Amino acid sequence: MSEYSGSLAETSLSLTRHLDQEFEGRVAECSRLAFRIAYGVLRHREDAEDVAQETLTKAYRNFAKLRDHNRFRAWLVRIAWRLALDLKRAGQRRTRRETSPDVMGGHQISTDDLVSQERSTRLWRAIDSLPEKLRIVTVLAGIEEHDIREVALLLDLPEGTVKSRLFLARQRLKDLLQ
Amino acid sequence: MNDERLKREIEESLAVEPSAQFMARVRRHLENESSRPSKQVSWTAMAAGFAAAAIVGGIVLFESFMTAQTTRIVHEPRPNVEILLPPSANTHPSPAMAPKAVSSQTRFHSSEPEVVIDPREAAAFQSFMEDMREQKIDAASLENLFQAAESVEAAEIAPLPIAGLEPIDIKPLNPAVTERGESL
Repeated sequence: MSEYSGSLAETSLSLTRHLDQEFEGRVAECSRLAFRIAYGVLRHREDAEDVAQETLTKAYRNFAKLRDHNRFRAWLVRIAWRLALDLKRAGQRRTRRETSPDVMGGHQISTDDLVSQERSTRLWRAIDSLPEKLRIVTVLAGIEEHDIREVALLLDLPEGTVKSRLFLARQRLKDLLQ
Repeated sequence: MNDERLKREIEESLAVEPSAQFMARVRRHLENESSRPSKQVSWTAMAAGFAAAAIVGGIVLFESFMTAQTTRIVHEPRPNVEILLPPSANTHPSPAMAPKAVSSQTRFHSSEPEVVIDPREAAAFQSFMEDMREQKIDAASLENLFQAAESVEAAEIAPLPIAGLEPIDIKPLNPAVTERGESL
């Protein structure tokens, strides 16, 4: 009996170790993605880091429950997006914009910087006004390495749907920014 | 603003790298987290153990309670049920047989339906039993009475004689008289 329980414990331990190793590899690969998604919602570096950390912790806790490990990135995107939205809605922190003068560290701000800052503020205000379905597509497509196929994989949607949503989102953004 | 420019602007504003400490912080947090599952498991096991113990305890308590209830029902003496008699039902001359006033304390309140007996019948039965006890009624004569009753039941009842009624003969009317229209 004790032998059996001993071997069971050993198997469980080795399984946990294997999962830990696999997760370790994925953390290195996906932590930046989680951060950028959170940043796309919050536009605040520290908040986005907190959300990314929480996302990875949550993913670590439930990694063993994930049936298809190939869907890890899509799963992580959903967790990060939800957590970032929750934080934004809860308003737990006053979201200071990365481009605010305080954050610029007291550097001299040129007119170009001010114009760029103003344009960015307007752009994100427009993105925030989009419906959630269009917003997530816009943010994911805005993360540099993501093409339509990748976005479709991450959102578990057909490519055609992503393409049409992206088109619609850009049309609306153009209307809003003009 | 064209699509390309819009796309480029979004990409530029999202091209933010996390701080240098971010990865270290995440790893440290995950290491702390990895030492936690054993505690979680033990906590879960403890909770499951407590739940199981509570269930077993509950079952044992319930069974002992049910056994005690059954024993009490079996050994409980039958309450002394007295029959209420109205003052008008004083059918027996003996004062000992007079109906007693039953206080509300002596009433038997049970969940069983109350059997309603006619007070006169009850008084008669009580009187009969009392007489039997005091041997006022001879048991032998009772026996004879029962036997006589049985023999009466067994006796053949003679059939009644068939009523001998004469048949009534009704004579027909005279048709000739009625055709002519004469009075009868």
